[in-house]
Amino acid sequence: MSQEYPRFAVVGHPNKGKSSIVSTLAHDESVHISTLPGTTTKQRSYPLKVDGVTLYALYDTPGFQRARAILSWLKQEETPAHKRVDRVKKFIYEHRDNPRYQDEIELLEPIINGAGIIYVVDGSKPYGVEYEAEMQILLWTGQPSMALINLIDTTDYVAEWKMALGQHFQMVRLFNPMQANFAQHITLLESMAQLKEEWTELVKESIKIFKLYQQQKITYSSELITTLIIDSLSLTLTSSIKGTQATKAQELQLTQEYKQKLRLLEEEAHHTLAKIWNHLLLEKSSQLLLLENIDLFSKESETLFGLSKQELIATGVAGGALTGSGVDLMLAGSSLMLGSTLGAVIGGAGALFGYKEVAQLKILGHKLGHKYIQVGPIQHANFPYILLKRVLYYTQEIANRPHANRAKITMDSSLIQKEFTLETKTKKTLDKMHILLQKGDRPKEKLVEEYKQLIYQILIDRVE
Amino acid sequence: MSSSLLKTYIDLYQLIKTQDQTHEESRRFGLAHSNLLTNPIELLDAWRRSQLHLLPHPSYSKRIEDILFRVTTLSFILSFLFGIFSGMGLLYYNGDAPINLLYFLTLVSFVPIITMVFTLLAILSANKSKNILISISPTYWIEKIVRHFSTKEIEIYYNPLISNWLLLKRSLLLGIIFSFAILIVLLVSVLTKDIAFSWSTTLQITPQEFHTLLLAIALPWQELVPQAVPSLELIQKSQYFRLGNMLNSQLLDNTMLLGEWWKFLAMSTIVYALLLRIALFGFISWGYKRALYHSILLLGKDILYQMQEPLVSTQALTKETPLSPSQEAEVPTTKSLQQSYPYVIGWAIDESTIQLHNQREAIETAIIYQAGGNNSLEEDQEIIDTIHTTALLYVKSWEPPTMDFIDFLMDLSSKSSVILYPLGTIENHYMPTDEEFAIWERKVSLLKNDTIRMKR
Ligand SMILES: Nc1nc2c(ncn2[C@@H]2O[C@H](COP(=O)(O)OP(=O)(O)OP(=O)(O)O)[C@@H](O)[C@H]2O)c(=O)[nH]1
Ligand SMILES: [Mg+2]
Repeated sequence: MSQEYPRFAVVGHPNKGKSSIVSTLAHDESVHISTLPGTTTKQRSYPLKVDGVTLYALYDTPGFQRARAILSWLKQEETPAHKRVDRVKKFIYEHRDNPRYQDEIELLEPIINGAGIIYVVDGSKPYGVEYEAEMQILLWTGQPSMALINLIDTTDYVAEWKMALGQHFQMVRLFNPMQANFAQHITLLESMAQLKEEWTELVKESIKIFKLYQQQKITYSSELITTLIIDSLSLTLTSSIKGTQATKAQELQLTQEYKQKLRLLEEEAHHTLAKIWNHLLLEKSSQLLLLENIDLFSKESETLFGLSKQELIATGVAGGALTGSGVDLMLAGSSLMLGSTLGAVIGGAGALFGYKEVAQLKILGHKLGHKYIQVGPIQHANFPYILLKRVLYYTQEIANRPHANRAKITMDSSLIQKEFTLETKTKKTLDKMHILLQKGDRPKEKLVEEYKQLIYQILIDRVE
Repeated sequence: MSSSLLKTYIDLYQLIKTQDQTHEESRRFGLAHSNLLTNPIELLDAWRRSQLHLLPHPSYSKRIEDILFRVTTLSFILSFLFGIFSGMGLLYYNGDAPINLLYFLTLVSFVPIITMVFTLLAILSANKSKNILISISPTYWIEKIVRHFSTKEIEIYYNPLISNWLLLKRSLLLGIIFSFAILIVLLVSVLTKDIAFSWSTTLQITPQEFHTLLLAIALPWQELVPQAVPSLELIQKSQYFRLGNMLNSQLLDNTMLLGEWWKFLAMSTIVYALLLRIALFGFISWGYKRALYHSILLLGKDILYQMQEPLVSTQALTKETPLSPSQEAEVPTTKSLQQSYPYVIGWAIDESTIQLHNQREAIETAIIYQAGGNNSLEEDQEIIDTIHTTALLYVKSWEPPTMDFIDFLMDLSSKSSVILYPLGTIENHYMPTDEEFAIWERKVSLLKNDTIRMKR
């Protein structure tokens, strides 16, 4: 069973981007990539698993080091074509402990175990005869094979490579692991599906899974972004004060804390996004969320019973409090057992008498006249968009980033704001929620769902 | 389902807020319970049960159930007592004057109808968080106060979808208990004493008009219990006028007849204050259950998604052996070349290119060799065999040095000194880039062989 799924060994000359290709195809940022040849020393498998079942596996391998020596060993005996793979197996068997051929043994092993060959060359450098020995060896294995031309540099020798590779490989394709987007990845998988008839089905299945995987990531991202927006826009910090006015120092400290908290929320969201997209090692040259010109003190409010002023008036607790004591309140309640409209009268009275007086009252021995200063929610109309565009931009960058490309992500504010222009229709729905949150209300689940859906749409369009 | 839906909801809420569930864990659970995948509520409940041990004691659900129990007991007792007292007050009869049945009738038919209309209105807006009609309910207040004395963190209860329905349901139950108490008082009063009912009003209502009204009230049972439908005669005879302390003499004559009213009053209580409320109670229970289902699904949406979505992984399962730190070392380099070398060798470079470079560098040589590339190893060996003194060795700087080359270089350097000249591409005017040169330099330096120098 375990032998059934298709395998593909990515092989080639040293330092031509084999590991880069594997990293991008497997969405794995842990693959060692370096400018130094000989970085990869052991074969390593990258299975695509769905619920624990492997659909196919990629193998990263070291580059050829002594191809001519091996080819000459293979050719020492006259071998008919149908026996050549056995000759290769014999080579591996006989040289397993020979350190001279460790790299070749590592790279040939998956192939003689049935892996298809993905041969990687650098199409930005001229073709050379020194490649011929290794291509010969690959032919001896008799496995299905394709060549991938990777363009490491801007120079172009693709034409001559195609001529040479076409003689040894079933298929020749171009693939750039540093720039490949999702669509190109899928196209490559489609080519791989054609390599061998028995594999087609499973590789096609893998393509479906990759698409599903991508959707899952976008779903998770839109959930996360929505949560970030809700948490940030509804963020409040309070601190109780003595007397009637807060001191400047107190205000300053609270705003500092508030900014800190906002940035932390964003930082955490970015981290989780990086995790969703398997890009945890990626660095970010970040421009901090700038909050300098935004008024953080939106409203000053006192609380009673842990409820906000609005809530109090709406629910009528204030009304109850007006009658003087909670016990009264309870009795008033039970005398209305049948549900008369008197309750509404009491409740409404709270709104009539206003809130200030109520806040001074003592209820059931709890002093409720405490004063608080509160920072947030930020009322600034553009603030939600500053936040949203930043996180969308980050998601877009990280989602489109092939895993071989490990350059920093730059969060340039002016660029970010320019990058995203949202449609009026989209904005309207977004606004609905922003306004609610900024008022200090909790949005309904349905609205949150709608918001999430919009973010999903925006991301789908921007993640190729 | 073994436990109540409310408990399921609250436990789920607490689990989801406090427990971080990875996709992998959820999916594993989903696959292990694949028979439930089409029944999300059951699936979530199964998951809840599997996670219960993670909740701190007492759990939210335990605490909330405790609060609810206290509230329920307290309000049921109050409501029952209140019903008893109200009934006793309304049916208070000392034989001086008959009881005006209008008060009682109002309490057992008009008030229930009005409150139920309010309840219906409240149902329409039951899903709103700020529901003024809900805050009318006494249960609301009792709970608020009880909550104040218990724990604050049970914000869960703020879910209007559930708490509103729950409040409605329990308010209605209070009404039922209250009415039941009144009914008991009525029946007990009728059994234990003789009561005379009468009716009187300041309004100008003729007995005929009053009869019509009462017939309308009695409509639901006029077929089933005709005895409980007051006749016009009864109405006429029990109209009561208070003129000073004088009692209507006709009224006194009919005391026995006036007792007949109790049947009508009892039926009104049963039908309006009880049956109608019970029906509404049934409807609200259904609505409550639906709201709970809805809330549970909403709450468990993400975790259900994780349970249902296949778990995909693409990465390597093993850690890659860490990179060995690169030992940088310098190799003696030379900037200038001699005018002539006895041997010039090109590694995988064809003869015309070698000649081109010789011309470029104005180098004279007697012998040009091509090594590597398509040569066999024997051919390379033959080249080495002929060489002594110094050799200039051209290599392609952009191709990394393979061990194949290193083998050759080692053999060569044992026979002669070697000037290794990495050539760049045409685009770079045959100059190696710094990086390319560094790669070659590093490789050569590892050989620790001082017969090799590099041309830069
Ligand atoms: N600009 C650019 N650089 C690339 C590309 N592909 C590979 N590289 C670079 O080429 C170098 C070698 O890449 P690797 O993926 O480590 O090559 P490899 O074939 O696995 O190398 P070994 O394991 O040493 O045999 C790294 O510095 C990569 O960043 C590409 O498409 N564009
Ligand atoms: Mg590698």
